[in-house]
Amino acid sequence: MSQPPREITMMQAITVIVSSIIGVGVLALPLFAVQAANSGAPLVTLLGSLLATFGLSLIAMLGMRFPDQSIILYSEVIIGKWLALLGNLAIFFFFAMLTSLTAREFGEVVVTSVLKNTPVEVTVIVMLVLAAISSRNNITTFAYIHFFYFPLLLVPALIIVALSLKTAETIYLQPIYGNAPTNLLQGTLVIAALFQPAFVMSIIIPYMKNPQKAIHSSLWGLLIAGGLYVMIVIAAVSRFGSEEILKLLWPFLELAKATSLPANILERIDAAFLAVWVTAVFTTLLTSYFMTIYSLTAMLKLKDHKMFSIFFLPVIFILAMQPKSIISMYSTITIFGKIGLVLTIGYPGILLLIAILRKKKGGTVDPYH
Amino acid sequence: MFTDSNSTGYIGYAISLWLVTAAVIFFLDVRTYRRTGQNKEWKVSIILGWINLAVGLILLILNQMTEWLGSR
Repeated sequence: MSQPPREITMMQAITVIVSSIIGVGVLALPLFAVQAANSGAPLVTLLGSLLATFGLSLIAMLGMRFPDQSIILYSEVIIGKWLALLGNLAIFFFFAMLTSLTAREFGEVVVTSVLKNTPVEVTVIVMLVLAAISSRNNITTFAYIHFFYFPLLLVPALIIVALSLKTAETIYLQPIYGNAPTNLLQGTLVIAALFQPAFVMSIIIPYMKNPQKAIHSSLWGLLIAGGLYVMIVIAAVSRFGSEEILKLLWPFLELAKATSLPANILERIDAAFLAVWVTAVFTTLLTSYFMTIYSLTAMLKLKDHKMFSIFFLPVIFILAMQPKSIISMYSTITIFGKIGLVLTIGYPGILLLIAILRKKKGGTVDPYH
Repeated sequence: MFTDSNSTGYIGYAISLWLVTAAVIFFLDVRTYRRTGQNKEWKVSIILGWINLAVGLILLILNQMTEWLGSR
């Protein structure tokens, strides 16, 4: 397979970022925020978004400095082949774990809310097979898929948020700093971890029509995704209050259940919302699965990634089935999320610093070599 | 409800996945790479196919032996 040409526009890059971020974590988002800062949940979500924006900006700046190479390749130029191998392997393993945990979380929500008699293995396998088949496409088609589904994800979420505000109690949002919050930093890290799929920008930039627009794409993408996340938290907290949210595992799903269209045209929109949410999970899973196989393909200097899309399916499935329950699953997600921040923010930061100090810049190199 | 996952034991699913993916790699990827002349990818896909087939068969045999020993 020949190298795909530069076809990804700035708009498509934005949609890749937004649809990668908005996914399975959106259901539990208000819970994570409230656990950190009770009524200060919107503030901690904002702080998490800002931290994620900083991280993605580092990736964008690196991509603009090395416009023809992905992070897998320019890391070798910056820090040498063997150190870069450690970083690249860490990226590979992290995104493999992220894929498995995303698939498992999806499966748990489905068997809890919709298909109560279906084994969770079946729901996990179905979504993983979908992601595996879709990830066989090249990166341009990958971006088109995200571009296609972008309005389908954003509009329903905005509708639910807007409709839920008619029963909102603004008193629940006060004090905006939270009642003596002790976990503000932890909460910020947990929320920032939800934005980690945006790391896909590190492999998108070499295929952008104009790589110098990468920083614009990143900022717009995080503005849209982060803005939506803050609005979701505001809507959930103002509807239920922070104490009630602590008793809900998936507050955004409960918010969708409690929301109805005007004149009760649709009394409960959670069924329609879940259909949309499945699409959101698919795009997020596609991104992390694609990152997993692309990183290994680039490390091995291969020209095609299709064989890995099928090869890793059983391995990802086994990883997805490791947590024994929903509680241990979320515990694992939280731990991996925080570890992942070292990789998705710390590692690009170190690479950028070293690249500037060593005066390393990219040239017109084939991204596959 | 949240302490026990709705799981029926995943080893059977995993074995099936390994065997099916091995078949897909052999019948789809290996043939495609050979036809398009991508030699490096062809060799790697053969290795990957054999790995999946071997893992699937070994787990199948071990699983059957475990069940047989458990039933005695």
